[in-house]
Amino acid sequence: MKRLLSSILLLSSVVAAASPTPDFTFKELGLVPMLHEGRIKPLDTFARIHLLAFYGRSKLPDQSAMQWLAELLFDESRAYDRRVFNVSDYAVVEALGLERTEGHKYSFYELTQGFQSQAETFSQLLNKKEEERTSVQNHMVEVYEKYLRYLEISRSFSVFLPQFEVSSPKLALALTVQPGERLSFRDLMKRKQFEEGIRRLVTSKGAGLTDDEKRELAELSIRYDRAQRDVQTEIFRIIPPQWQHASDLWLAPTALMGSGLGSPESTQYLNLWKGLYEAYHSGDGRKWNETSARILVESQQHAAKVISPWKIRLENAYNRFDFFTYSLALYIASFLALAFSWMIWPQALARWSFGLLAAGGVFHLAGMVMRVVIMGRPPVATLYESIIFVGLTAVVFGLVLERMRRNGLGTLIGAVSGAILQFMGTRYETSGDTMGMLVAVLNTNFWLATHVVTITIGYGSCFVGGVLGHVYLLSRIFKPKDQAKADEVSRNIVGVSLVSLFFTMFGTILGGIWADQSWGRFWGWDPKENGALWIVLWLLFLLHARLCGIVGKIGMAVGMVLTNVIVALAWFGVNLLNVGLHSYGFTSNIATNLALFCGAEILFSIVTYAMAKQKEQLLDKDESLRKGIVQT
Amino acid sequence: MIPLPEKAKKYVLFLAKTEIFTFAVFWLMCLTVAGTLAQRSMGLFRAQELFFSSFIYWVGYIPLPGGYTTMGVIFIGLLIKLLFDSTLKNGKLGIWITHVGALLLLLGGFLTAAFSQEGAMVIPPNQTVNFVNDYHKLELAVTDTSPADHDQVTAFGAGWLKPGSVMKAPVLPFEIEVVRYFKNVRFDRRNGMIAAAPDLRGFAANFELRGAPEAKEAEQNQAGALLRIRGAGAGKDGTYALFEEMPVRQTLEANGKTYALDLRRARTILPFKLHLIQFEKKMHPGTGMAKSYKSVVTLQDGGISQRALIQMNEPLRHRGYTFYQSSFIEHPAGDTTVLAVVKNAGRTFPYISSIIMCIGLLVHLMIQAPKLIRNRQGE
Repeated sequence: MKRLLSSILLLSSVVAAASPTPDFTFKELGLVPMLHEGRIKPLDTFARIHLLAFYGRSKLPDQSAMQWLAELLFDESRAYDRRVFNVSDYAVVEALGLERTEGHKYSFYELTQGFQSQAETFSQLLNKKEEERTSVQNHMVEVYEKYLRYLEISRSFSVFLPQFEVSSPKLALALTVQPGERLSFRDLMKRKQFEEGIRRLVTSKGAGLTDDEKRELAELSIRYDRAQRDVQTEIFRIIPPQWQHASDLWLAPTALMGSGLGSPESTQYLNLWKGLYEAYHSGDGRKWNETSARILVESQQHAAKVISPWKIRLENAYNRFDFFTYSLALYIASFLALAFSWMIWPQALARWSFGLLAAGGVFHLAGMVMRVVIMGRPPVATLYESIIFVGLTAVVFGLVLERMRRNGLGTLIGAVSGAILQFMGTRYETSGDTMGMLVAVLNTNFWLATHVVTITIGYGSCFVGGVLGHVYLLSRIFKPKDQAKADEVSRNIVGVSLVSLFFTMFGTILGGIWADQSWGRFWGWDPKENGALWIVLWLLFLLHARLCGIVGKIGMAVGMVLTNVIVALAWFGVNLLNVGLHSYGFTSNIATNLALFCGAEILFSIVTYAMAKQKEQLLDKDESLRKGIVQT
Repeated sequence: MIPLPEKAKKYVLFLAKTEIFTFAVFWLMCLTVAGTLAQRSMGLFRAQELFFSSFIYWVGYIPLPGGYTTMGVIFIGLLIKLLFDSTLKNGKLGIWITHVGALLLLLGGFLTAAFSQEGAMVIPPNQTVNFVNDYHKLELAVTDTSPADHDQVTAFGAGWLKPGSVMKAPVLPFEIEVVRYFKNVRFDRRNGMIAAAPDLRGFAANFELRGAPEAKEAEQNQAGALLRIRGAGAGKDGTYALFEEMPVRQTLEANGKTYALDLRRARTILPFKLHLIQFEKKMHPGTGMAKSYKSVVTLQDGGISQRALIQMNEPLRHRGYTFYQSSFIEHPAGDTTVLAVVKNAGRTFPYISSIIMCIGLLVHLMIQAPKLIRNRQGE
């Protein structure tokens, strides 16, 4: 590890680059296909998910994701100096011995110094298992892994770039190169004498060399070592499957060289990339744009067999339009319009809020449909997707309810649940590619389309019921005399709870049938299965308790509020147990948020239940008094 | 509707009261929560035994109803309600249909719990296997390897595996007594300083078995036993040590025949055989993430041998048995496939009952929907 770190400080390119001028365009390059995490995606997506992972957002204040990626690939020294790493945990900052910065951002160089000063600690940490480390230690390792990823991306083309230059004539002679000649690692590999020369000189401890020459030798040797390791860099898989080999494996430029799988076409393709590097360095916008256009054409031709260009374009559009953020904004606007409608211009604003909600729903749906088309599978297979889908379900419920009743309740439900869930979704995007590939057992469109969709609709419907429960309780407390309106909400609660029962129960049974089809048992008491069962049993309990009078209208409303808690536990909570087949998508900060949410809902239930009951008693007393007066 | 004698009516219908169901279903939820949380500390199998597949669950000295009891109460209540109670049927057709479906679902669950068999079939490449290993139960198998064309196996089931039990069989020239039995075992090389007892044979002569704490997941345990053999003749009688998946098979000779001793997962012999042609796993390109697993096998039954494919979400069904791709064991010479094998009498019930319940709830929603979500203008 120490060696790795000390070599990094020397990595910056020998040639200072010109900065790209405004006439550089990155659109074409963003459309170039590549293979990453098992999926063919445009370079733009690759850039965005990495920037999201490093920085927390998909663009920098002064750079787009593609601009950043180009800089990282072609101009390391600038990229290493840019504050791109978001380290928000102060404990990690302290552990690395770094200064606290505004915005929690650190550059690659700063982190290098941090890791270097704590090399001992890190080598110990890396030897431990994840469960044995504390959460701060896990964050530290996370930062380190991102750091290595950053390094790996930055070295993608290193073997092709002219990074070796020997200035001392004496050294040059010993290494059989021209002084001042700029050479790439690929060039040097063809000259066996260079490597042998370095080995020989290093073993003899630079006998007969001046101090300056020794320093240059040390630097060359470290560079050479590093470049040798760069051959293993394989994250940047831009070379489409080689036609003579029937495989679906794309190769990274460096790996192509190592594997000897190159072909005239791939060499030509790589030369284009080299041209791109030169254009970047010389600041030649015209050449850059021409070359990236040619790269796009060539790459699409080569990749035509494995992916059609329109899918890549579609994904690019999906990235650029950012439908889910728009829908989030629209939901919030809808909620605000609705809130104001309670104070001024009730009718006009209510109509506006409905329109905004519907518009948000359209964006939401459009994003969802695009994802389905791009991935060629049903909409829900990961935790992230379930959040987005439940949000959409709740919005659709809200819209339907609003169309039927026109009293603002539906809009409220849709806007609140849509906004909350879309916001949660944006928090999840930073964890990587949201369109990742699925493990073998999930690789079945039929069951994803039936079981998963049904159960998530059930979650959405439960969420709607929960919001209704809140509305009912609050209206009983603040408008205790408006019995008619409250009763209406109460009837809706029963209706929604039936719909929820319908979807969660069939979702659960379908899950069982999937399990029966796939691994031979209908039910295995796996935590996620049990979680789904909690919801079903809870709803059965509520509906039957209402039937035999164990709970009244207030109790039923409280029950629906608590349904939110149970859904949250079944949905996210069981993943925290880390056992069983379904424990996907675990992130440690879920635990805190989940506890906060459940605590708040339970507290809300207790307080509003007590208050609503008290108001009810007062009302009953009034009623009986009035009756008494009438009788006397 | 079946009419009931007036006297019995009160008591019988009590069981079908909605209140009883309400509390039972609430209790079942508590059990599910407890059983899920407990999995973290005690593993799935034991949590399931304790909370779900149990009649009574003890908290200290307080007996609480377990999963079987609770579901039994629900089942009986539901059955009585459907048979004898008229209140459910009047004008509530959808609800009635749904409850019939729920009853069938519970019945299916009962049949599965009572009669289903499951286990694993492990087939190394190019080999043929006709038995299924139980997931949990063990057996002690004594194999007479002397016949040229087959092995003569005498197996003693899990019930025998306790200290003091003596196993005898007419075909065996010796008897076997269980001296000690360990659910989970570890072994240490015997210390040279202490002379081993003279009657220790085979592995036991050099190693000592000791009990180890039980693993969290029951499948991770490696059971072991110390056995005393009598009647095999001098030099053969003595104490033998056995444990699961022993690298060296323990054998003894008696009456001129060689017998092998194995402590192994209980085997169920199938009336047909499976031969593994090839196990294949595919990765998503450029990642270590599995995309699919599949086993190409030949099914040999009644003189006919036919090719079949078993892969994720596509099991092989034959004579009431279903074979699922469950796992694999990697080996440079070819991977071994592990298939989950299930025979389940209640298998069709969830399918039927979900369709019935679906119809029932849809009927009910159609009847109720207009009442519940009334158009504002209509009020």
